[in-house]
This record gives sequence, structure tokens and C-alpha cells, in this order.
Amino acid sequence: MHVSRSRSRPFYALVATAATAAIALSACGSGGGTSGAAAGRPTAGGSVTYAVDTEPVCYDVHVSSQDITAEIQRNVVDSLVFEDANKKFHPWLASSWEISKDNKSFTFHLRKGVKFTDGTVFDASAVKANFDYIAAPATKSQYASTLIKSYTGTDIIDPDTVRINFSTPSAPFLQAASTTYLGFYSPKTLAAGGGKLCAESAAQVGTGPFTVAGYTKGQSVQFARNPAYNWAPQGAGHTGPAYLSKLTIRILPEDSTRVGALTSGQVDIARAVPPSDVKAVQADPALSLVRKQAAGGSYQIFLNVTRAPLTDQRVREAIERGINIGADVQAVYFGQYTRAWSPLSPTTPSYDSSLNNSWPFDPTLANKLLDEAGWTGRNAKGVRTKDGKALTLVWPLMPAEYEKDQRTILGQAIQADLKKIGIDLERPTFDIGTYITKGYAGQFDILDASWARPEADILRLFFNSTSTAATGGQNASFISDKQLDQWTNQGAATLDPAVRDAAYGKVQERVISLAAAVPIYVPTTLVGVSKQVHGFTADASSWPLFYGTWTDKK
Amino acid sequence: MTAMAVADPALLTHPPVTGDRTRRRLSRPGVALAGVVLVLLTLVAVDPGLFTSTAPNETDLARALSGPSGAHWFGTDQLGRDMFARVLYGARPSLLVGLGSTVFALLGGTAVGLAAALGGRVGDEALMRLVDVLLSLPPLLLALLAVTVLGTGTVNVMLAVAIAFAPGYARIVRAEALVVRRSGYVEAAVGLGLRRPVLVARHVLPNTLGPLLVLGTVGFGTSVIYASGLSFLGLGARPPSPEWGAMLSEGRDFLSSAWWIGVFPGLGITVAVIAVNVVGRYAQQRFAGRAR
Repeated sequence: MHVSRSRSRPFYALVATAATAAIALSACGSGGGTSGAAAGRPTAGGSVTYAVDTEPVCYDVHVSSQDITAEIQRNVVDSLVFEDANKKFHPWLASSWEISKDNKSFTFHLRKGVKFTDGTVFDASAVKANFDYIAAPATKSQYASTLIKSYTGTDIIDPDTVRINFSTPSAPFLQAASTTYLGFYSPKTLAAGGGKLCAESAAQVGTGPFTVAGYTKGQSVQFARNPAYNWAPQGAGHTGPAYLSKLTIRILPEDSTRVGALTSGQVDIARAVPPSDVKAVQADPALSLVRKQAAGGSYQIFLNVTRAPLTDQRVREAIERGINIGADVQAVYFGQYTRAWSPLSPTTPSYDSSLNNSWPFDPTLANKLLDEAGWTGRNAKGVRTKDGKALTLVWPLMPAEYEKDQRTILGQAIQADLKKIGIDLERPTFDIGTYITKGYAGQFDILDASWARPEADILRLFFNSTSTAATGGQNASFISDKQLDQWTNQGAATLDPAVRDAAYGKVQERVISLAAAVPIYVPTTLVGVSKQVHGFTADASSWPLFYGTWTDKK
Repeated sequence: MTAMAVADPALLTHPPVTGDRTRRRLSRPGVALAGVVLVLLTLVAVDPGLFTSTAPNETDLARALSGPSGAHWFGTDQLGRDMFARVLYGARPSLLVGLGSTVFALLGGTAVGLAAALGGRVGDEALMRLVDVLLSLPPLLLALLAVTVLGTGTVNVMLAVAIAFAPGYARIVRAEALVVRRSGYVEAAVGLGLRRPVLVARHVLPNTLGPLLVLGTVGFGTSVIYASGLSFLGLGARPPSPEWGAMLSEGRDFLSSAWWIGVFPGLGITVAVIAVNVVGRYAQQRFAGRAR
């Protein structure tokens, strides 16, 4: 119900939702990759039930910014390009592509013989219809449109060749084209009223390995195998239709219920196993645990550099160094998540590992910085004061329905740490509308978020001065810094890994040295998988791919 | 049970004929025990420092999630905070919200009920139809609606619960006031030429309030539950301040691994509500048996 209000703009609340949760699959507790290798030969047939923790607010991949939408719809829509778990690109619906020197236009040669499940042929006009739909203001895209921000149009060169044009250098587009958000719906579906796509899972018609067979709002989505499927991406492991004849996604938001359903065998796979239950899942001989750090933005707190006293870099640095991040993350997540050192998570391309251990917990330094900044008084509650004003900062709580990963409890650990150096954190709650409106207007001192996308370009989304909330950006630090602008633009203008690594490395270091954001933990996905299920793999966003999954249970 | 008592004015206006028997059946030791618990709870709410020297928000990650022991009677939570101290410190906000919302509901209900009873036919119709509309909504829904409009936070939760229960009280006050207004002593007072405001203040109001206060006691328990419910949903107390509903919510994900985080705040709510209800119903029956 909040959604309609938020649909017109991407918003902070969904930042978090869109962000971390990712699912994750390859590097596994029991040793890696797909669990299939040792389990014999894949066999077709059977069904698998996958329990997820949230239902998409909107099922339309072109509108929604939620990762759960992308994750579920990956079964139904295919993309031009496939990015594997090692961040390598492979042909998919495009068999090859060329990129212009200025990174402003992308020519794709489309695979022949691909059909949507309603019988429509996948061709150049289908590509154009989808991109035009995303870019149209009426679609009110929350996220996909930001992936093609400077889109100027699609040229149909011939039925099997398209050229997608941008007004600014858009090197990250190739990665974007691999995401579910830029996947393809049948043009018939789009013409019949794109509005339906958001609310009705059953309205989804794509070229994917599965089709939607049933949908019960708030409970489950059923998928059936697409028997005609013959265009799996290179590197998918096999060709032809998927192995599973049925796939059911069950929505079980309550952690204990979801884990209980997994341990009792009611579901075969469960997403977002709470860290506190990891031991129990690992101890169960029928289950294995898959753990993977999600690529993208770390979970971090953004310090609003335009609001006093956070305009003072010393106060921001005191916060950065005064939180015992390592110990807090270890305790709250039972050692399952690791602390973050950079605004990017370590599995993201261009991650700057030189930041590791470079800004450890140092309460003495934090106290010294606050003293230097003039916050030398103390009030009755032990909070520092300056000129009679208490050092109180407002960090609103995410409305409960968007809260995840026990972040409220983690927040309480941060509150306790900062209290020790004399900073008082207030955490009021608002409804999502107020949260967005005030957050947009920069009326809070601190906001928190994470973001899942295996592409360092998200640094532009968060730290470029043009990435304001009004333009679909996520600059929650409200920072406007010439160098950050220059380097994030530089990264977006090239596909040369060396140039990107250098530019994005400088961005990460500058964000930390300016203390514009304080990275807290690396979003990690914990998935419990029944040992009867094999070939459960993930894409670069660490979201599950059911195309290669098979089961012993028939 | 308590919600019924609030919504059912018949209990008071027509005292149950079985009152004496019920009273006999009611176990006196139970009432005494409930009374003692209430006194203790009041003391805890007034000054939790009397019972523990540990600060409720003091974290110690090294002792996180340890079970109940001599050092930590109720164990510790995820951040190593002492659950005993948190449950004790949680008493005040939890009970205060219940008390505050009951008081507000009684005040609002009395004002509306009296105005309806004494305000002439048009006023009566208008007010009571409005009350009917509000009563047609489940109280929790009404409270959620109020929180949505007012915003979250302890005070707003208090007001929201008050708004949810005020209509029930208004109907009872009106019924009582109508009975009192037609009673012999009021007619006598009118005959003596007493002015209307004086009449209301001296005769109608005091005679209406008796049953209401008893109902309020029972309603207090319900208010505590509703307020905790709203806090459970994250609409009430701000972290890290301890509040039973919010603590219960934090603990629910640990029921299988660390039951004490959720169980003790839940026990707090349960014990408080049962104690208040036992005492409230006892008072109700005493009153009903004596009223007329």
C-alpha cells in the first residue's frame, strides 16, 4: 500500500530492500560451487520448493528496485548478456555485441529462433519495445531506468540487430544489460497494459526457462518448465529446457517459520537463513548451507555532510573510528558476516583491498577528534555538548516491514558504542512516506543502506553530486565533492579495468577519508539447501539460477 | 475477556444475579497474590533501580546470549545486555502506556458520554452514532489507524490506544448518566432549583464514575496488551529503551536458540495483565454486588 506513493521515485527504503539480501550460492560451506558435481548425473523432472523471506512489492522487473523481484523473475525473463559468478560476460539473447569507442552506443546481434512463451518472436522490435517502456516516464521505473539513465533510443538495424544509444558514456551498461531489471517481456504483454505486471505475477510473459503457472498473493508463486527453451546462456552448464518440471516459491517472512519449513523438509531451499540458525542448519545431515558475500554496496551508514555538526569532518571521523564495528558485527551475526572496510563489498569488481584494516576501531582517537572539534562539555546523560547544544544525531529507523538482517539490533550496538564517546543517537520511527520525504529533503543526520549490484558504478549512484534523490540517485550523504564526481564519471566512461580500478579505488579511499559513509558489514547471503537438490547455482548478483537445478526427489 | 467487559455495559447496568455465587467462587488468595504482584510492579515501574544495579542499556558483547544464571537471572540478549534489568526497566514504559491510555480513554469517553446524555436529542444522536461507527471498528484496527495519523512513538501509541477504547467508555457513561439523571435524587435536586452545571458536577458525574473506574481497571490490562502489540510492530518505544512489546519482538527470532530473550518480557506482560485483571474483576464484582 505504501508502494503506490513511492512508485514515482526510487527511494531510500528500498535501497535496503533492493540491496543486500541477495542470494548466494556458490562458495559453499561444504566446499564450493554447485553442490552437484559429486551427486551424479542430472535428471529431468521433479519439483523444488524455494522459501523466500519477502514478497515483491511489485513484480515488474522494469519498475521494481527490489532484489527479490529480480531474483524470482529471473526464472521468467532472460537478458541480452549473462554475467557469471566470476563476473565474466557471456552471450545470451545477444550472440555478440560491439561497443562504440565513446561508450555511447551498444550494438547487439540477437540470437535467432528465440520465442516468448506466448509465441511472439524475440527480435529487434521486442528489444526496442522493452527499453522504450523502461525509459517512458509513465512506467515510473524505480530502478531499471537509472541503469539506462541517459538512454536516447534504440535503432532497429535489421530484425536481428539493434543499437542502443546513450547521450553520455555508459560503459556500465553492459553489466546492466545482464541484470533481470533489463530483461525482456513479450511486447504483447507490454502493449496489453504494463500496469498489470506490477501486481500480477501471472501476467509475466518472457523467454525464460520457466513460465508462471500459478500465483497466490502473499503465499506462493508456481512455475512450470518452458519446454521450448533452447537458448540458455553460454556457461550455463547444459542446453535445452530446464531439468525441473515444477518450481514453487513460497513466501515465508517469519524467520523461524522459514527455517522450520526447511528443517522439516516442507521446502527444499530457504533463502536468508538467520545467522543465529546457521549452526542448526549445518548440523542437520539432510541440509547444506551455502554462504556467499553479495557483490555491491556494503551495508553502511551515510553521514549527512550538509547538516551540522556532521559538516565538521572531525565529528564524522570520530563516528567512523568510534564504532566497534568488528566486534558488533561478530556478535550480532554470530560470526557469519564480516565487517566491511569499503563502501563496496569485496566481491565487487574494482574493490580496493588496501582499505582493509586501514581504519580500525580507535575510541581514543575518536574522543580526541571530538575534543578538538569543541565538543568538550558533558550533560547529565553523559552526552557531549558544545555551546550548550548536545551532540545528538537523528538516525531514523527503517519502518519495521523493510527492516532486515537484525539491523535494529546492530543499530543498538552502534548506539551503545557512540554513547561511550559521548554521541547520542536518536532513532525515531516514521511511516515510509514520511521517511522518504524527510530523507529526500536531507532532514536526517544519518541514513543506512546497502545495495546489490556487482558493478562499481554504484559508487556513482551514491557519491556523485548529481545522484540526488530527485534524479533517482542515492546520494544519502548529500556529498558534493569535485574529485568524487570526476572519478565516478571517469569510471563510467570506460571499460578498461585498469582505469576503472584506479578511479574507483580513489573513490573508495576518499569516501573513507572524508568519512562520508561508514561501511559496517558485508551483505552475505545464507541459503539452506536440501542435499536432495543439486546444481543450485548463482549469477553474478549471487541470485539463484534454477535452470541447472535438479532433484533426487521425483 | 477484558474486551468483552469493556464493550458490555450490561454487566454494570444490570448487575448479574449470580454475583454472590461468583464472588464466593473467586479465590481470595489469588486476589491477594495479584494485589501483591501489582504493588511490586508499581514499585518496579516507579524505581527499577531498587531491584537491580545493572543498567538496562549496558552492552557487553563478551557475555552475549548467555542463559539465565546467578549473575544474570534472566540471561543476556544479543548485545550482552542483562535481561533482568531490561525487563524491570521495561515495566515503566509498558505500564505507563497502559495507564496513560486508560486515563485518556476514560476522560474522553466520560466527556462524550456525558455530553450525549445531557446534550439533548440532537447532540445525543450525533455523538452516539459517531460512537457506533467507531465501535464497529475493531479496537486494534482503530489504534493502528490512529498511529498512522498521529505518527509513531510512545505518547502517540498511548493516544492511539485511548482513541480505540474511548468509544466503549462513552457508551457506558451515557447509559449510566441516563439512569442517574432519572433517579429520584436528581429529580429532587432539580426540584430544589439546582443549576445544571452544579447538578452535573455534584450528582450525575460522581454517580456515573463508580462503575467506570472499575471498568477502567479491567480495561487497563487490555490497554497494556494493545500498547505492547503496537510496540511489537515497531510503532512504540524507540530503541534502545527497553519496552516489553519491543523486546518480545526482538526475541521472537531466537525462541529456538535463546528462549529467554522473548520469554521474560512476555511473562512481564502476562503477569501484569493477569494481576490487573484479577484485581479489576474482583473490584467489579464487589461493586456490582453492592451497587443497587
